[in-house]
Amino acid sequence: MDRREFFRRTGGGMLLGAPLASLPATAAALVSPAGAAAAVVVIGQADRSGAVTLAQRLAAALGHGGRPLPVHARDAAALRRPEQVDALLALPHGTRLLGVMDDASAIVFLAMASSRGAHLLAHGHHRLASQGATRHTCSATGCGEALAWHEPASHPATHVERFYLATLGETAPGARTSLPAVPGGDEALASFLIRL
Amino acid sequence: MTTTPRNVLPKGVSANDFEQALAQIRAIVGAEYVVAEDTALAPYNKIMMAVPDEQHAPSAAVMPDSVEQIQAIMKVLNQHRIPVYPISTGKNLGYGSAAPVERGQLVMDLRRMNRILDVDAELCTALVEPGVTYQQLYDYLQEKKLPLWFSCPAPSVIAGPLGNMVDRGVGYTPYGEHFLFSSGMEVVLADGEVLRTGMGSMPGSNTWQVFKWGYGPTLDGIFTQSNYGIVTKMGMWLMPAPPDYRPFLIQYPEDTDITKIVDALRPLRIAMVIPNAVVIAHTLWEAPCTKVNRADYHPGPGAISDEAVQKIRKDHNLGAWNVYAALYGTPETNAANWKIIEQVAAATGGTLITDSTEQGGRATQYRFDLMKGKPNLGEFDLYNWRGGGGSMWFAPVSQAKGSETLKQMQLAKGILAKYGFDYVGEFIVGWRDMHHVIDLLYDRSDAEQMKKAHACFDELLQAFAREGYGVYRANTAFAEKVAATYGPVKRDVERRLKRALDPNNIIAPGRCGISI
Repeated sequence: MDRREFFRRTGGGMLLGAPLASLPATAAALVSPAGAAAAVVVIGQADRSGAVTLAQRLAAALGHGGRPLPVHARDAAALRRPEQVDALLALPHGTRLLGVMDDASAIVFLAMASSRGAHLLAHGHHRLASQGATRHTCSATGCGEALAWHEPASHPATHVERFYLATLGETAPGARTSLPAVPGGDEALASFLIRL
Repeated sequence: MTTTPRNVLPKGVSANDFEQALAQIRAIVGAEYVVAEDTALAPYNKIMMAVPDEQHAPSAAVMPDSVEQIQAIMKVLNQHRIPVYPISTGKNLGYGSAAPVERGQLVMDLRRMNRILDVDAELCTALVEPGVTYQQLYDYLQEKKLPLWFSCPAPSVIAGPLGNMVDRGVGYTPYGEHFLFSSGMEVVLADGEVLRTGMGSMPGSNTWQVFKWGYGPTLDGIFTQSNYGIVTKMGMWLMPAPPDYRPFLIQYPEDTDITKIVDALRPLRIAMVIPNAVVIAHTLWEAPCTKVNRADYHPGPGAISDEAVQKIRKDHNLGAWNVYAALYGTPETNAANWKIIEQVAAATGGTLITDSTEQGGRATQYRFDLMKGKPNLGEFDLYNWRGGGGSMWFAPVSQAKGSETLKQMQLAKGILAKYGFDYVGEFIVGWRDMHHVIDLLYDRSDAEQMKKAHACFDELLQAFAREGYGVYRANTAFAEKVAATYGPVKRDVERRLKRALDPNNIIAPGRCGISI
């Protein structure tokens, strides 16, 4: 599939739900009351301001009915502890999990997720700059070469949101908010979308 | 199960043949344990190697659960001449990860074979399957309240002992030379035969995990860093938890101190006053793990300057070199040996630190944990240093002599700087040998840096080989080039062994440069 086709792609597939009671408490807390119908979970690294902001923007775009999805913030220490990552991954089969964190945490998280059989749908890198442009590189699995672009840090475009929406088979942001641009502070972040 | 047309196939295998083979394999392991769709295969793509994904793309992956299933799969693979790339946990990130050595190979993921088969608390041995992780073994020993330690590498939470031993990895306790402290392997050969090495071949013997050698040629070595079989069980020695453990850090202020550090510590290591490998980490190995932000010191492109590195040292109380080792014994023996450590530190101008909450902070803590075999992921902060998370380990071996250090460091630093990369290195005095481990950190989201990182690694490899330094491990993209540095005769013998043991060339052809 080439890049144009990718952005035209629609249809995200049905989610396979599981009873909430069967989930570990930590994982159950992540699933919104709407349950499987809203089974996209967004995680942002709490000790990285850029990660939290980008996660919030993505959560807003993925929300429904004008309401953004909640962002579950975890600090780097939690994202390196196997029992805590395991708890985050103990969601129903089919749940999509979107994470924004530093490179090291993302590598660990994806390694643990892959050990549990998670599918990698897409991933990105975001090079935030205090001066000049922010560079984004996003790649959807099976769609050939990565998409790379620059955007001014002070004027947030919505390409990252659109990229992940397209990966999920959606075309329009669910909730538009006046969230700020990702703060530019010479920071490197990774994002990913997996299906459990 | 997917039946979508496949765009990655094993070399020389038709789509039709491959589909037939997958159908046969599904019948062996169950359809849910054969994956062929892109998103499910993505975790088996290369991660860190600075080459296009396509170069190491797998055709499919299979997850057997038993030796019998592997034997049955090998029959199918031989029938269709399909090359297979076995992995245990596949988390060997800086040396290649789970990606096959050549495009189109079928990944055999052994993670479901994750049983701790035996732990003998009296003899201090364990027998494990490939999917067992160090964290799993650690949790097992804790749960059973067994006072036993093991040696593990830096990514120990997610990596496993069998894969690490088969790749001849190293760790940080007195049992850190992992292959040396292994005892007994079970190997499924290409034709499906099952070999148990050492005493494991003898019916009725209970000495498989205690006496490695058996009778006749010792075969274990040929199944490490090779492709002559699929290792399905491994015996390993565990270390009794010592009554007294004294980890320490000695910091030195100047780059040039490395010469006297190695010459002062080598005799202590050889005499086993210091029983574990001595790690001598440079400033920039410590900095990321101490949460230093590179951009605060070097916001632009290119390699960080010496002045900036010195400022980092000053701002964060880091040494130019940071020596990590430990004493293991009784309080009495450690007290006696501690005096020697104090004397050596004083005589060489080092600052001795024993409290991990002092200088170094987090970096010191993760090192102190690793030296007692407690799995952690502290070293992963290296991936945040450059941004973009790219990392390739370059690890030449030399004699453990001070005279070997500075010239290697200068050679590496010059080549790295030429391509715009930082010198992030450490020397490890193993016993009489010394590993110079360099983490080539780059931004893998930047196509230009990817090309430079690959070219830089290549130049490092060739330049060090010209000086007589061979690497002891390397990522799979460089397997052929590394093998070539060891000369033609060794390679010819390896090929002859391959022909004898795997005439259809189906187990990981190309791994460590071995293929027919």
